[in-house]
Amino acid sequence: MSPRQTPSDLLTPAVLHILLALAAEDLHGYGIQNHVEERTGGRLRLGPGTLYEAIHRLDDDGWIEELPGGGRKRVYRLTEAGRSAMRQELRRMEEIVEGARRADLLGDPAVP
Amino acid sequence: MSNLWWRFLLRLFPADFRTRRGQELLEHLAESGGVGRGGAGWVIWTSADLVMSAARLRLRPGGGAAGRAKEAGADGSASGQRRDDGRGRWTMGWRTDVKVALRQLVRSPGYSTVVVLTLAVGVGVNAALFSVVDGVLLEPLGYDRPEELVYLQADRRTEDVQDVLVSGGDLTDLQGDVPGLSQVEGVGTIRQNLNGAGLPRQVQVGWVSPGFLSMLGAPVRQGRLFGPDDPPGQVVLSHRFWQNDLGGDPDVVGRTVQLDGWSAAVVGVLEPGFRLTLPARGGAGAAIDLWKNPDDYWQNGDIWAERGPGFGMLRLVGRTEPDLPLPVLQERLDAWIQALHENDPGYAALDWSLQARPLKDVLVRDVRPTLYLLLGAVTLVLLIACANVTNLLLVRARSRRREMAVRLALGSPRGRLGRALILETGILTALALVFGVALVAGFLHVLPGLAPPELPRVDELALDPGVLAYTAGVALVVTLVVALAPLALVLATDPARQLGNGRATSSGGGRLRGGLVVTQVALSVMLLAGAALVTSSLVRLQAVETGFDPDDLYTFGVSVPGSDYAWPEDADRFYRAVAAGVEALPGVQEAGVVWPMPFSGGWGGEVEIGAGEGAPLGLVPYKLATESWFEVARIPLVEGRLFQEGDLRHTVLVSRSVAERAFPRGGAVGRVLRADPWGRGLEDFEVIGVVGDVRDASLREAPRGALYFDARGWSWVDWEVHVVARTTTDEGTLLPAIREVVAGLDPQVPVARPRPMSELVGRETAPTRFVLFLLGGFSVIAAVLSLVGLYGVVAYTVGMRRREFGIRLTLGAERSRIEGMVLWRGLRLALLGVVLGGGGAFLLADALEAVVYEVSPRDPTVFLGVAGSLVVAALVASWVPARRAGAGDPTEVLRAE
Repeated sequence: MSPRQTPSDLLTPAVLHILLALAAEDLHGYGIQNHVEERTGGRLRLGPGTLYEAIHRLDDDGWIEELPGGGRKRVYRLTEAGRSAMRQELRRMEEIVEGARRADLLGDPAVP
Repeated sequence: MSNLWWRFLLRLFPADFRTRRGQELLEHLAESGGVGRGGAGWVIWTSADLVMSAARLRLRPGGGAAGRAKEAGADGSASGQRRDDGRGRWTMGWRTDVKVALRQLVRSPGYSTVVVLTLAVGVGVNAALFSVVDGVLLEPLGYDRPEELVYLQADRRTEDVQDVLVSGGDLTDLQGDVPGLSQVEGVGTIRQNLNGAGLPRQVQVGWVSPGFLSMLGAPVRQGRLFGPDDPPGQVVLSHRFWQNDLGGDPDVVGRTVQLDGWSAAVVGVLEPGFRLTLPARGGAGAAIDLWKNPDDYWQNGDIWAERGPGFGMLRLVGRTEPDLPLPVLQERLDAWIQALHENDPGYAALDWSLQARPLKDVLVRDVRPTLYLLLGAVTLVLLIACANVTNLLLVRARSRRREMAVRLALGSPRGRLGRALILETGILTALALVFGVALVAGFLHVLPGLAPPELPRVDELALDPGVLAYTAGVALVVTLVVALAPLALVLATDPARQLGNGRATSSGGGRLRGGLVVTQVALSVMLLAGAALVTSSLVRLQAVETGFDPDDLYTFGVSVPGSDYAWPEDADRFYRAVAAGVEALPGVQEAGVVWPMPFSGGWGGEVEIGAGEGAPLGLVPYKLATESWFEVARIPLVEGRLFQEGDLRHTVLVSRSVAERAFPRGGAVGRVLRADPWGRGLEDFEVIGVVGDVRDASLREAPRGALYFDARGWSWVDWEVHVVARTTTDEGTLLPAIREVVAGLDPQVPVARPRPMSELVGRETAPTRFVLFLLGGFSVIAAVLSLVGLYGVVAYTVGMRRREFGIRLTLGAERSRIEGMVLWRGLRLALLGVVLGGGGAFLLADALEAVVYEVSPRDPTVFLGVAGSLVVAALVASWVPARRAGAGDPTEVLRAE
């Protein structure tokens, strides 16, 4: 199964955060939810439906995979394909942000 | 509990997801619920999240396991859109269209929700009412060949009295004597005391001629029905009575039951479904507990042999020969009556007649106009909902014109676009249908508690296939109707113009939308006017002067068996002792005895007055009372005196209107009139006093006057009389004390139908309250829908004309002017609607005739009030968008362009 290269319909903020969480450590579903919530200071709360929908799709697309013999709770791990897709997206974002910074659009960080 | 709910929601997901993630998701939910996230808010939020995820997964291009396998081969081609291969565009692409439509709807949840809810209300109230109409008016009776059953209504036309009871002798004469009427049977209902094991209680007994039950085809569960040669005094039990009172005894046939101290042998038990609900006379038509065959025992002799136009206790039901037209039967009945009149001057004098009517019409005659009225009302609600949704669809179709134009330009056939649109609407209506049916189920659940006792067969109502089919039919029609206008819009789309313009700002179709709003307002005015008229009627009905004071009265019935109380004086003594005992209870001011109870039917007879007095009185209600009744009920003594100890039997009290009619020159006291309370010919009675008139037949009917006979010495055995007490003691304390008093005097005598008098009065207003409840509810729904519609159209116009308003403001137009302009647009639509609706209500006012009371269905103040309040509401609904029109910053608006 070859991973998609530009799955723009897949990379919603929720999905990106899940990838970020799994990039830090292997987690089960509940762990991902807590991780994301902590990382965003509670601003992003993943609903269980959204969470498992994303897991389902990411698994289908081969971006994440289930750790074998993980016991009662399934633990997921980021695959190479997933990691590269995440990097690609982060780079894309970085470029945008960089461009914006050069145009002095971000302003003083102290002023929201 | 919540686990079940999650499992239910899980079913919404594709099968592939369920098998692979279902368990995991459920565990996750259980865990989340366990760490303090179990609140209602969390459940709702999570449910919505699950539903949306499920929808997204299902709508995923090539979603599901099969799609995944396919995709795996077609690397990267994730578009999921397959092109038509030219072989029949109408058969291909259905799945895609459905998916696209679903995706469209999921993408705009607010719009979808509003449309679904609006339609659900429209369809739901219709189906709910249809289920009532279907169950009450259209379902065939549960009898054998019901179309052949006729009710023979006896009238005494000289006095204009309808539906009088018939004697057993008349029944016997009729049987076999009218060609085409293959069978005719009689039924009378009375209450009797059931004695034996346990608490004595009263039961409803149906006295029937031997062939009655078999004519209706009453289904037998055990034993048999009556045979023509059965000895008198046999009973057939209703299923309910057999279960409740005899514990479902399997060997009940052959047992005896004690009715008023007389034994009756059980010959059979009926199946549970069988019931007879003849139009209520004297209160609600109570369910019959036992059926009893002809009996030679009755208060005044053998009712089955007695004949005469003024004496009886039966109502007649017959079966015609198959396919005999009713007019033909009527002709033959008329001929039979003619012969009777020639033979018996008594019948001729009263112009006694029999009218044959289909039994079913008779069963529903009191409620039919009301139900049709309500059916009309829900149709209006549905129309309003349709108009509203059409408007929403139009606005949406308009905003998607560019999309449509692009699709047309890319070669999509118009038919396909139209189909997609109908599909979208169809999905919305289907969802509305589901909610609508849920609404109906809920309605049927609460209805029996709300419906007045006059609404027959209400507990038989069910969500049957007929109702479902009707609901589905309504939904289908609604789909086609509401999709029509947007469909026309799509089909008329000119891609060149749409795309060339760059931006579609035309406001065409505004007239149609305006017209729809006017229609909604007009229909709402009609409903509101109806509701207002019924409200006004109810207020008047509740303010009716009854001539007595029904507040703080508590009543119950008692009846003693003739077998134990051989002398009339014994019974009288017993009833007076009960009244005295009750009066002695703490908290009771007075107690008296009367028959019949107010609002519980009645009895009456001929009254003759001497030559040279007033106009003939004809039939006058007869009543029995002790002197204390007048005091208890606060009925004033106008002249003369009340009954007293030592009076002879031939004294009478008359009510004021009778006194005025009989003795127009005054001085009624001491005069003599002739009456026949005992059914043995007219006898002289001396008027000893005049009392106030009482409105006690029905709140809607003016008092008819009455003759009160002295209860003293009246042979009241086997006759339920009513003890009435004035008290403010609550029922919980009072009733046990009353039971104790009665049991102390005779442990065999039950306390029957104990209740406050206010309940009887309330029953009088119950039908009006029922209509008001429904009509009021419908009209509120209608008003809200149409105001939302008005708001929507005005707001939409403001949105479309933002640019124009911006320019005007820049050029120096005053904000108030622009606000006024928008306000005026809304107001104009509302005014037009109010005028049209007022006209419609005026034309259709006759439909309300059956429910209004002492208010003209065309009452101008009611109309003006409704019109005024709707205009004010319309002003408010237009005010919000008007403010927005004037509040826009012109520079911002123009920059947005």
